[in-house]
Amino acid sequence: MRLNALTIKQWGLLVVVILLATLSLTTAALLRFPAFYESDLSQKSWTFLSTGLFFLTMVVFASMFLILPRIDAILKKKNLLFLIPMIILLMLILSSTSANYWAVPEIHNMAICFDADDGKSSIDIEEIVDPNTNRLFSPNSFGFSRYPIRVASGDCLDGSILVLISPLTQALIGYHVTAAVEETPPDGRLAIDINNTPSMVSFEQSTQSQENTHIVLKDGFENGTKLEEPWGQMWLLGFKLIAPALSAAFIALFLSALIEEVFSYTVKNNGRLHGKASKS
Amino acid sequence: MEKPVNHKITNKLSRVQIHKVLMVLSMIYFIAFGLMMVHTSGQPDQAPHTYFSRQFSQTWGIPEENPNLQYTITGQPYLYYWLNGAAYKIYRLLFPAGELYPALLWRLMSLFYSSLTVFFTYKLAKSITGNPYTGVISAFFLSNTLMFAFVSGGISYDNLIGLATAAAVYHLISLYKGKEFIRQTSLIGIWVIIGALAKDQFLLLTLIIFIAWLFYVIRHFRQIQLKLSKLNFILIIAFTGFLILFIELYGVNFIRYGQITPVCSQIKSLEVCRTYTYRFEYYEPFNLQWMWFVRDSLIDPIRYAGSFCIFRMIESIWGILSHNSFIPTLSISLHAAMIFWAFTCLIYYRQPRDSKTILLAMIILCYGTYVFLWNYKREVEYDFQHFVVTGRYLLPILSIFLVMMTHIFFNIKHVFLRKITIASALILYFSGGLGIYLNRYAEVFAHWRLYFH
Repeated sequence: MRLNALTIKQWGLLVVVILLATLSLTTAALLRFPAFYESDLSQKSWTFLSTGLFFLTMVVFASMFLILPRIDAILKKKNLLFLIPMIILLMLILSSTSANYWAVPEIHNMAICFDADDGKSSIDIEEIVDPNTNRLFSPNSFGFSRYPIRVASGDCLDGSILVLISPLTQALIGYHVTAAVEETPPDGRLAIDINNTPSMVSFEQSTQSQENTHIVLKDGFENGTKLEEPWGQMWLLGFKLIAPALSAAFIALFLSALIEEVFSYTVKNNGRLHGKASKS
Repeated sequence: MEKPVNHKITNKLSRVQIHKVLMVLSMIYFIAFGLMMVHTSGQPDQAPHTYFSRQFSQTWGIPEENPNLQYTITGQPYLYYWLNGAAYKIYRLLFPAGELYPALLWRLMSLFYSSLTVFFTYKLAKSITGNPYTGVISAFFLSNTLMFAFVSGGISYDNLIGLATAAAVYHLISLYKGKEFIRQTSLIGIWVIIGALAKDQFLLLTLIIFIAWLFYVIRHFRQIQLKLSKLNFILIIAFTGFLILFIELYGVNFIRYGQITPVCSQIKSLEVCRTYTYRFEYYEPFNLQWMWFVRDSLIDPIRYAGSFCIFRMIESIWGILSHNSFIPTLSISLHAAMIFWAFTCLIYYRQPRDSKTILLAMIILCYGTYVFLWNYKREVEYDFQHFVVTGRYLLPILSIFLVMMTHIFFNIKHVFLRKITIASALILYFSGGLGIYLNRYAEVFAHWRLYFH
């Protein structure tokens, strides 16, 4: 199909398809990343818009230069044999390779307090990790852009961690969070509250061993706040179901068009297909 | 009936060369992936590479030896470190108050070399097949090879020798295609010497490429035309300069130390040179007589290849095996299956008269065999403890391998099979490359994050 042969109606339809494909790809991509769920509303909006703009450019390029000029060949009956399995394969990949994609986030408030025996030392929390997946929680809510989180003696840091509850992995994952402190913490007491449920660890140089630098936190997770709005709402779930399908269809069309272009280049320039003489 | 919208712009757009746009996008894609790897830690041997680069930053010549450290400078290939040092000195000259960390600068230089490797992979595939899209696809495959991208973000001479291999082989293929003899020969010479001056392991590739060049010269002696243009003259001078540096390093080493590069104990005291002492308890020098004596209990090379080596090579190229490791087993198995499928297609759709692909296959075979035998020898010496057995040593020929694989896939005669193969390979390489990096970032790579501020 030649671009300059498109009618206004067809252009309109094309714009809608391009926007839908962009929206689906952006959703399918961003909802895989825990960092997206962890960001605040303005960051989310900015990330969504910039990623959307990137995908829009790619989708427009692919549609204008690859898919549209070959759409008749792509949609031929014998090419559907290639297109349909590709769409199914891509749908499976897009919808099953990330548990986060289907997740509903749950926020747990966390307070970390430290009292050093000498009254002046501070303690470094090297990492806060989900031991089931080894996922590193963002330290941003504690006021740090990166680890370690430093807690001075007599101070309490308030923050939160965002756990992603996915139907794909929920049955396999128990509520645990591991906080790794520095290898030789100063003597004192570290108190970690999860949703106002306290846990306490005492450090003494004389009894210090490597194992207890990893503190496993189990209590208090039953009081977290599940962010059902919008993550658990039906309209979003519905769109989450459609997005991999639309993305898969677009990627399959792109691959098909790309391969058509590659093969036709060979025919145009060499007068033969790779490994097989063309009939012309 | 509605009138079509007549856009002048759409006419112009339809004349855009898509493969060029796709290649530019592939390069941007690789650079973006590489920049993420620049901020990822765990690449091999960062301590010695950083030490040598820092030493070379302090002088324009060869720095002095520190007798109290096991790191040896005397008689060692230096070009990679010299370039790192030169870049840092130039940066300091241009920005005296600049706050760029030297390690970041050197990592960015590595990424620059690897980006050029990706570009030469494109050129090599295009040159072999005559189809620029095979180049784009090969470049995309290389960009998504996890260990290649990982090493590209670190300080390592492997990036420079990868570039030297891809460029030298590209010019060798150009020579075989009958392009200008003097220009291609000079460029082959320059690139192989750059590789050899960066790492002594490259000498084998120098020899293989030299033999291939000699073979061409003997077979086409009468047809060779020597054209002396201004550019060729400059290239000959540059080649001569590099040749002098090559002889000055390896020739002098051979005369002075009796080998191509001196070992630490020839330069420093034995106490200083003892590294990896935990390995010595397993060490027994390689001895053929002893091997004959224990032949019934010794793991032979074929069993070693089948039971361990091949899969280790695959998992440490399409996964990450280094000071930090990440082995995504499903992705690795699918890559192994893809390689097996490529071999099957190679046998089934073979083209015996294709001299250029035979040449590439010979380079891969010779170099691969050398790395395998070297690994096997070390395994015998260290009681099969698998010290330093990694696919990283095959990275110099990775670009050639991927070009071959793409070429084989494009030669599948059955159109449907060819389409499915290429599409699956593209999906697999993306999913096992940048895709897996982003997908597993919070679980794996966030722990390896490097900060330069």
